[in-house]
Amino acid sequence: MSNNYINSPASPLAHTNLAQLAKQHSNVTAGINFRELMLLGHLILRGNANDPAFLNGAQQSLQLALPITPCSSSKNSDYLVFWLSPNEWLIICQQETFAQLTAQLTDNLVGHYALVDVSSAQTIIELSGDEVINLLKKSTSYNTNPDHFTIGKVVTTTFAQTSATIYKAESQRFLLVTRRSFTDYIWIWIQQASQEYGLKILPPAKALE
Amino acid sequence: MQINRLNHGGNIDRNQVLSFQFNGMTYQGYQGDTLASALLANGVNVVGRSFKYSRPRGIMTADAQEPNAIFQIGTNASTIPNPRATQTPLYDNLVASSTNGWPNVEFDMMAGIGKLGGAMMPPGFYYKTFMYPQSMWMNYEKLIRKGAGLGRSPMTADPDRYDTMHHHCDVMIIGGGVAGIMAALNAAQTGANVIICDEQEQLGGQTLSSTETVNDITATQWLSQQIEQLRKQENILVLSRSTTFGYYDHNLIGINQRCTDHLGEHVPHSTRQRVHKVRAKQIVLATGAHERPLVYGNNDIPGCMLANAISTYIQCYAVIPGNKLVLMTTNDSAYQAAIDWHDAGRQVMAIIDTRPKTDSAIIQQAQNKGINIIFSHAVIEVQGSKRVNSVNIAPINNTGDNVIGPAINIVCDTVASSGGWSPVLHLSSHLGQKPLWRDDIIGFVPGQNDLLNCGAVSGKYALLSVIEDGIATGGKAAELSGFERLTDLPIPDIIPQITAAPMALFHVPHIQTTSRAPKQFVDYQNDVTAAAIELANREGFESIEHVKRYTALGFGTDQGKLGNINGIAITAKSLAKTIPETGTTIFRPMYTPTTMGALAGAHVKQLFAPARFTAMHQWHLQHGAEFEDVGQWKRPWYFPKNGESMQQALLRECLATRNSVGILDASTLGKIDIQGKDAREFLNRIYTNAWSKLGIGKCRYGVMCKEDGMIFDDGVTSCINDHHFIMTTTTGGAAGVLQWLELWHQTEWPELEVYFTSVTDHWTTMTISGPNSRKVLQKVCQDDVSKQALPFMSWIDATVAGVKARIFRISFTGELSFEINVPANLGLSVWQHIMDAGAEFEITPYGTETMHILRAEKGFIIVGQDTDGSVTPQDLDMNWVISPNKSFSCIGKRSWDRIDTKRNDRKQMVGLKAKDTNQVLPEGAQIVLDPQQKLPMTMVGHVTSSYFSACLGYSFALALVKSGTSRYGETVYLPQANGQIYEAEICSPIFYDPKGERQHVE
Amino acid sequence: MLQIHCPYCQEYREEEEFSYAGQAHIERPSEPESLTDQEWAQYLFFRKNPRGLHHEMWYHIHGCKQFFNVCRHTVTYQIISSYKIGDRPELEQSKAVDKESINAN
Repeated sequence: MSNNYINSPASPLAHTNLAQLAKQHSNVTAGINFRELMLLGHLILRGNANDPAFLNGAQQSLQLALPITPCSSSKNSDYLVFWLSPNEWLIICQQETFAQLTAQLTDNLVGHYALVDVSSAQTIIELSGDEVINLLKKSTSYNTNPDHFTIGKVVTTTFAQTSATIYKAESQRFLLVTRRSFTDYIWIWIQQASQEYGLKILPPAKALE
Repeated sequence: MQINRLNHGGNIDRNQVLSFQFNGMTYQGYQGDTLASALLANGVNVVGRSFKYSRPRGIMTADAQEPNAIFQIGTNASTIPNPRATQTPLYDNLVASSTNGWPNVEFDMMAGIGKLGGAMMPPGFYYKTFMYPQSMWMNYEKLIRKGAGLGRSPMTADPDRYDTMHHHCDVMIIGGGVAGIMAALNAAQTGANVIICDEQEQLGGQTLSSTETVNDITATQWLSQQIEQLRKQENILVLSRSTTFGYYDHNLIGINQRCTDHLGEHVPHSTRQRVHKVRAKQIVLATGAHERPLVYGNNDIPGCMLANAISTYIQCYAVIPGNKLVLMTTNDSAYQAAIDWHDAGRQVMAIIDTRPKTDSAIIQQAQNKGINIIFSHAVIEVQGSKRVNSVNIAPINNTGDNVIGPAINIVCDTVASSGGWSPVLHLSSHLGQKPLWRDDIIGFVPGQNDLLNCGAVSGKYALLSVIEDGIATGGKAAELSGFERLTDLPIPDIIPQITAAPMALFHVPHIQTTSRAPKQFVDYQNDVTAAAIELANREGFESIEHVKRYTALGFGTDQGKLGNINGIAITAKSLAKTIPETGTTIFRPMYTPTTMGALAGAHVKQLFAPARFTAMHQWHLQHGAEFEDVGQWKRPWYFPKNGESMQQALLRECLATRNSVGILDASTLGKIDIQGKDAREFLNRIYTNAWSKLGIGKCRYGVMCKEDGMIFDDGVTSCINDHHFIMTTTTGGAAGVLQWLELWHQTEWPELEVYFTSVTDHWTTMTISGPNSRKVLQKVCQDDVSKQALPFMSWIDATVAGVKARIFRISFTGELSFEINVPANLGLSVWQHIMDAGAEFEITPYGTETMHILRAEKGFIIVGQDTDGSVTPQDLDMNWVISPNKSFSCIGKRSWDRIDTKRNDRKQMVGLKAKDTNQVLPEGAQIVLDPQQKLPMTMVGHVTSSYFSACLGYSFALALVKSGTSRYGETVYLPQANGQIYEAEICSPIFYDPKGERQHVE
Repeated sequence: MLQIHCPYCQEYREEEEFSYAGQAHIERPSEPESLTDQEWAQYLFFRKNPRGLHHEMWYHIHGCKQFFNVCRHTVTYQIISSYKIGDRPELEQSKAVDKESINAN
C-alpha cells in the first residue's frame, strides 16, 4: 500500500480561483483591491494578562510584547499579534514558522495558559484602496473615522450579517480575519458592495506583507 | 401646453424638456420640476379621489405634507406605491397614476356610492358597519381595499439595488434650510465632522422662495453662496433627496437617500436608494415648519391650496397654478403668496384677513400694489366640482367663532389659505417625548429631549432670527460634541420687518352649524371632517388618542401632517378645553413612507442570510447533493443518483451504510477546545454525568441541561490529556453552548482554571460508518485501528492519507464507525482519498436525512427535534446519563426533584409502529387514546421523528407520550386534519440492533 | 438601537454586537439540594421587571465574548453605567429615580 499521498491545502476561497481572476485584473485600476493572505499560521493564545510570568514567556517566544491594551496589536518581522479579549490573542505567522512558535511557547509558558491551532479555521482578506473606508461603512456599524479607527487598531465586530476581526494596517489598508465557513458569504458581500467603486483582485499571497 | 408656466424665473431648465405620462395622458415639463409642479404647469386639476367619499382632489401643497397627490410611480417591477408628487423629481418618460379612483379620477364609479354613502359614513364607520356578522369581515376587507386603493406593490422581483451605510459624526443636522445650513457652516469651522441632510432635491427650504434682501443681494443669491460654501467644506457631508425617517435611541437616526429616483425608473448598475444610519454626538433638528391650512366649507375642491405652496410654485418652478386668487389668512406670512401671484401677472381677487384691521410692512406692500384686502372676514365655503369657481366670504367676530353678517360671493379659481405654521417636530417625538404648546406662536414645539433645535422648528420664523438661531445652535452643537467654539460666523444684514400678530383660528365658522355646513375637511387622506370630530366628541371620545382612532384622523400615509393640529383644536373647542389640556398625539417612525427595498438594503437574494459551507462543499455540489439548511449551514441532505427520487436515494444510502460503508460530512458539528487544570471539574458541573475518571484517549457521551433540568444540548467529549478535552455539540447548538460555558465560567466560577475556544471551523469531520468502514480506513491509515488498539468510545492520533488526524471511534448509526478529523485546509483532499480507497466497497456518501433515519432506528435522539426544551433526561429514559454521586450539584440536577419533573404522567419517549407498515406517520401529529372521543380530544403526545426504514422494511417513529414507558404494546391513534385516523402501536424506541452488537464487528 | 460601552473593549459599540443575557447579580445557590421547591423556583423563574433602573447582563457576542453588567433605565433606555462581572453597580435602584421616571411619562 502506498503512503505517498499528494495533499494540497486549500483555502476557503480555493473554489473562486483568485489567482486566475488576478491575472485578468492585472491592468485594472479600482477603488477597492482584494487580496487573500492564505494558508498562514493562526494560533490562539490564552492566558492571564496580569501574570508577569505569562507575559514574559510570551515575549521570549515572540520577541515581542503581547498587546494588552484593548483593541491593540503588535508586530515584528515574524509575527502579527492581535488582542482579541482580555485573555486571548491571535498570533499570525507564516505556516513554516508555526511549529517552531508553538514549541517555543510551550517551552516558555508556565501555569494556566492554552494554545489552540486555528490555522484552518480562518483566513485573511486584505482590502485596500481609495474607497476602502466606504466599503467598510457599508459592511460594519463600527466607527471607521480615521481619528477613531487608528492605524494598528484591531476590532472584532459585525461584518455584513456575520462577524470579523478587522485590523487597520495603513490608512487605506485593512486585514479582515474571517471564519472559514463564512468566508464565501463575505466574498460575495464584498463583490456586491464594491460594485460602485470597482474591485480589483490581486494575486493571493502566502505571507503577511 | 404648459398653460400655467411663466416665461421667466424658477429653478428650472427650460432647455431640457421632459415628457411624462399621468393617468395615461402625456405631458411636458422641465428639468428641475417636481411631478407636482409639472402637473400644475399643465393645468391638471384632479389628481386623485378621496378615500371615503371619492371626492375629486387636487394638489394642495409643495412638500411632505401632501395628502392628495400620492401616486403610483413607475411601471412593473420597479414601481413604487404612494410617493408624494411634491417630492418626486421629474425625469424623462416618468409614468405615474393615481393610487385611487377607479376606473379613472375624472369619472369615478365609487363617487356615486361615496356621495350617497357620505351621510351613512360617520366616524367609527368601520367599527359600526363592518363588525357584524364577524364571519363576513374578510369579505368586507377586500371590498374596502379595492375601493380605497392605497397603491400597489410590484408583482415581480425588484430589479434595483439598495444598500446601507453607517456613519459616526460629531454633529448631524437634519434639514437643509437656512437654519440647518448656517448651523452646519458654524459647526464645521470648529473642525467638527458634520452631516447635513435634506429631503428635497434642492437645499434651501423656505428661503428658496424668499423675496427678502440679505447683505444687499437677494436672499436666494445669498443662499446660493452659503450652499456653495457648504459643499466646499471637506468635513461636511451633504445628503440631498435624503429623508430622515426616524430618530432612535442614543442619538441614532435613519436617513433614506433616493440616489437615482430622480434620474429614471430603473438606472442599471447603481444603488437606487441607500439608508444611512448615523450615530451622532449631537443632533440638530432644523426641519422647519409646515404651513397649516384653514378648515372651511368644501375646502377640498381642487384649487384650494396652501398659501406658501403657491409662493413655492411661482418662485421655484415658475408655475402659477390658476388665474384668479382669493387668499384667506390669519397672519402676515401668507401675504407673500398674493404678492407673488400679483407680480406674476395674474389677478388677486382679494386677500381675506380674518384679523380685525391691522397693519404691517407686508400689508402695506400688498395695499401699495392695489390688492383688495378685506379684514374681519373669512372664506366660509367654496363652490365648484372639479375646480373652484367661486367662494362665499362673510364677516366674523374678533375671536373667529361666529359669522356675524351675510355672505357675499367672489368669483375665483384658486383659494389659498394659511392658519399659521406648525413646526416639523415629528422626529423629536419618535422616542416618546410629547411636544409642547406655545401660545405665542400658535403651535407645538419639540418637547424636552437630547436634540438641539433651530430655526422654524423652534418657533422662529423671521429670516434674521432663523439665521441667528442656526449659527448659535451649530456652535453649541460643536461645543457639546467636544470642540472649542470659535468666533461665530457673522450675522448678515437683514432689515427687520414690522409685523402684525397672527390670530389663533383653525376652524372657520359657517352660517350653519358644523354638522349642516358643507363638508369642512381636516384630514384629507382619510376624509375626516370637522363635523366628524365634533360627533366623536359628542359620542364620548375625549382623549385625543381615542378621537384619532375613532375618526381615523392622522391615520393616512401622511400621518396627519396637514390636519392633526386643526383636529386637536376642534376637539379642544368642542370640549371647551385649551389645546395643551387636550394634548397631542405623538409621531412615530417613519416620517414619510420608506420603501421595503431600502430597509432590506443589500440583504436580499443570496445575501439574505449568511450561508456557511464546509471544506467539501464543492465536492457535494459536483456529486449532485440536495442541500438542507441547518442553522446557517448548507448540509447535504441526500445524494440522488441517476434521477432517483428522494425516497429511492434514502433507501440506497441507508442500505449501503448498514451493509457496507457510508460516508457523512459531519464538519458542522460544534467543536470546543477546553484547556486548563480544572477542565474536568468544569465538565462535571455542566454535564449531567461524571467526568472525573474519563481516561486519556477515551470519549464519553454527555447531556447538558439548563438549570430547569431540561435537555438543551448533547454530544461526545474526549479526553486529550488531563488538562485538555475536546467537546462536540449539535450543529445548531454550537454558538449557544460556547456562550453557556462562558456564562458559567465568567459569572459563577471564575476561579476554575479553564479556557474555551471554538475549533468548529478548524476541523473537518468525516464519518465513515458500516461493517466495511475499518477496511476503508486501513487503506489510508498505517496506524493500528483494530478493535484492540482503538476500542469503541476512544480516540487516537493518527495519520490519515498523509495528514495528521484524530480518529474517534464513536457511532451515531449503530454501525462500526470512525469519525476522522483533519485540519479543514486539507479536508477536501483527505475526503477524496477516502472516496478513492472506499471505491471497492462502494462507499456511499449520505446526507442528513439518512443520518436521521439511521440514528432513529437506534433510538438516538436529536436535541431540538425529539426534545423541545421541556424534556428531561429521565423523560427519555436516559437515567444512565445521570451521575447521582457527583460532589457538585451539576446544572439542572436540583430541578429533577421538583414536583413537576417527578410526575409519572410526563411525556416520555417511545417508539411507534404504524399499523399500516408503509405509512410514515406525520411528524408533529398529535396522539390520542380514544379516537371516538368528542372534540376537543385529549391529546397525550406527539410524533417527533418519523421515517421509513430500509433495513427494517417498515415505517417507524419516535414520539413523546404521557407515561409512555409504561404503555408499550398499547394502540394509539393519530387523527389528521382531513379526517383520516392513523393507528399505531407503542414500543421501545430502539428498533435496530437493540444489543448494540454491530459496532463491534471485526 | 442602543449604543453600549463594553468595559473590556473599553469603547462604545452598537447594540447589534451584543446579545442580551438577562438580569444581573443573580447568584446561584451554593447548595441547591438544601433549598425548598419554592426557594429554588424563586432562583429559577422569578425576575425583576422594574420601571426604572435595571441591572442586566449583556454578552459581547460579536466582539470580545465577555459578559458584563449594564445599568439601564427601562423607560428612557438611558444607560447609566456598564461594568465588569464581579464589580458592584455605582447606582442602586432608588425610589427617587423611579418616581422621576413615572413623572416623565
